Amino acid sequence: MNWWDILKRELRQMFIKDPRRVLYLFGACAVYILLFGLLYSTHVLSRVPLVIYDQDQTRLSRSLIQAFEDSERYQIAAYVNSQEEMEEYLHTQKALTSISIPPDFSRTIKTGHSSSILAAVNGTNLIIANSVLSSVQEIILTFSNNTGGSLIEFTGQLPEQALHKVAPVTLELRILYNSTLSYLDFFVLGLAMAALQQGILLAVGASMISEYQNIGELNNVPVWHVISGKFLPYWLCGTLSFIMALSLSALAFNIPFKGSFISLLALGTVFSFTITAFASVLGAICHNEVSFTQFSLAYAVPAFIFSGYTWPQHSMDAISLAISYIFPLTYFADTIRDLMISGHAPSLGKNILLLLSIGTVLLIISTLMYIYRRKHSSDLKQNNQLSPLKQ
Amino acid sequence: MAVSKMQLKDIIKSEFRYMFCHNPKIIFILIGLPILYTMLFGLVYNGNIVKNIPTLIYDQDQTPISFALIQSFADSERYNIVTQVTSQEDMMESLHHGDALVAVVIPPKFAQDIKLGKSSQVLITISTANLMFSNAILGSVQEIVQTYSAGIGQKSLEGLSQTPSQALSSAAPIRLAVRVLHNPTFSYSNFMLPGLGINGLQLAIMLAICYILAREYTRISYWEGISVPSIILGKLVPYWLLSMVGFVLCLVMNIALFDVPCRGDIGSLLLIGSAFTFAIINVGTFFSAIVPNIVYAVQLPMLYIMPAYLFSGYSWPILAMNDFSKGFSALLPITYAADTLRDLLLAGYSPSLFINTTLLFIFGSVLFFLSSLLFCLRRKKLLHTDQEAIL
Repeated sequence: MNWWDILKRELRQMFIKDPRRVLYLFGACAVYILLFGLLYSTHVLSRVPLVIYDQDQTRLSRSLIQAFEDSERYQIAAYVNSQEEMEEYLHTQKALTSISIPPDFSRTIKTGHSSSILAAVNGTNLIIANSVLSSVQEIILTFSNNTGGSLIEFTGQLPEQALHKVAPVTLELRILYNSTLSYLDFFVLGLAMAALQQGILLAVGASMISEYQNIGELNNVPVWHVISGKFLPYWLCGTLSFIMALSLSALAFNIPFKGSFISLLALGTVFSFTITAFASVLGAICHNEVSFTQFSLAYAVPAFIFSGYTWPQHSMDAISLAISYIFPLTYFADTIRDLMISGHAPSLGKNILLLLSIGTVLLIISTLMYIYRRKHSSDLKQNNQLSPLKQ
Repeated sequence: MAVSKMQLKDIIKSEFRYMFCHNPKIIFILIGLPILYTMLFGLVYNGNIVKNIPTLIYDQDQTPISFALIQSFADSERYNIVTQVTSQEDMMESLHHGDALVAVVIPPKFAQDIKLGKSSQVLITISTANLMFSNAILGSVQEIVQTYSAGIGQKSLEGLSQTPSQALSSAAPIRLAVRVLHNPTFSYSNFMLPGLGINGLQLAIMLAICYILAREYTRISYWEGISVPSIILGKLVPYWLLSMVGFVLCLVMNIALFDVPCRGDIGSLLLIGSAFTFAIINVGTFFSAIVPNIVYAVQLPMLYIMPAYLFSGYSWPILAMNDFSKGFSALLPITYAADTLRDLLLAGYSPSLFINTTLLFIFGSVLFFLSSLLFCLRRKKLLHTDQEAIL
């Protein structure tokens, strides 16, 4: 047998004898894209339940409330008449945020003093807290500037001039790449890439473990034929699955596809290579498929969290940063998102090289382990065959 | 037969013996893995908030007024000014290379416009696909610019012969006070660690429990004549006890090492912990009862468990989900546990503690019943084929 026969044998195993493998390779990341595409299909957080406690009940306070009613970020859960009632809404989580307008709100402002609005937000979920914080600031600021403007108009300034006086510096925000701050664009790609990694790991694991269980079968085939014949199908299928995943995310969920296809393909191919090699090493170490699965699944969560995909490497301390460098996903997930969403990734070249070197080292290790185990097993066999003769 | 008189107590003992003497990996996974996860994730979120965001300044004005604005950014711990550029191209270049993630652009004639009573604009460009950065910037930049603007507005109104305090009130008639309940510092570790801990625990249970029934089908005659509920209960109790040990250890580590507050009472924490572990153990037992072998017992449940954390409403809230996601989320035990646990820790109470605990126990019991039924049927079938074989 040469490498081509081994490759054909491997494909037959993958598709017919143990179709789990092909399911893992192609199914894992496709399922993840579908699931999480649906989960984040609303893109941004809206309709946060809000309770309003208006102690002023004037035209001015009502127009402020109007601003909150108009914002799609909020859904008014209730208007209440006492502090206790408001606290009750927050306590039972019927409302996650509250706005309290003080008595004399309107009068204080008209007499030229400033008045303050108290906003409270349940901070246990930071996604909600962050979203409320930035939108409430924006709403109050706009309202404050308009109110200030009308106050100055009384001193005989033109409306536009008056506005300039109270808000001499305005802020213009330009958010490049993910301008709607969509969670879908932010999150789904990375999750799919983590699933791709798991898919490759489990498929290659199943193949390696079954090979090691019948290690004598290929004893007469040169080592490099075995390795390349077994390695290539998974590497190629992993890459193919990667391309499918990106296409699916762009077609089904409109995730931007801005990067050049060549860069994406290069990175995907190298990642698939590295993970296939990693799985072959792992497959040589683990005794059976249960252990292999246990390890590879336990590995999945930290690999994702340390990859810098959500919590940035920039905010990690030295130890965490060092740990994050161990995981191949670190050089991949964030870069894929950069390429897809913004069209370029500053660290693309560096990451490709790093992944390639890690992969090569792992491939060499796995080859050595294969040679060792093959020799070990044939020695054992010989001993077993010799021992009856000795007797 | 001595075996047929086996008591519940004996089954529990023999299962413990199996764990400690024959397969200590189970103990390592059940207790060690959650501890390892807690350690790792505690470390990764040690920074707590995203700060020192690399910031670029493009000051086209170069006046004391613009320097004052730059100073406000320099004073904020959120921003770390890495470079000052002098042209649009340099700015785009820096953003493109990822040297800076946010650019503060001050237009020419910035100071002059302000003095002339026109309003002037500060342009902030956010250049990252990672929402962690975008959220941190959005939450702080408005405040910085508004404070600065109000200060300048105050000065210019003083020119209209208003007293300083009057002037400030006209420039910023409405001020916003935000009270962030339960997690006032926006600490990321308070937000993430309880949920990641419980997710680690559920993963550990699912990886360890695959053996519980799946391995028994290969030696089914051992269990002949013993009532099925006592077999399953007896095998389940050791897992439950050990996973509670894991739960308590994780909690203690989060509180003692990583400063997650513990405002709830211990009784409630143990209640939700025991309900959750009971439900998950029964999920594992159920899978272990239906699958053909141990490999499937460890791989199949992952379809259900791996996406669970993100669907639980723990980070992406249920109020932002569409109907499909809400439905899927309602089927996952972690939905009833993760949020409740965080509420207990951070807020000291959870409005849904009792309903969620009850639901988890009911869910677990239903699965217990189903597993018993399945085990009973398969035992009957296996024993039948055994007898036929003997005949």
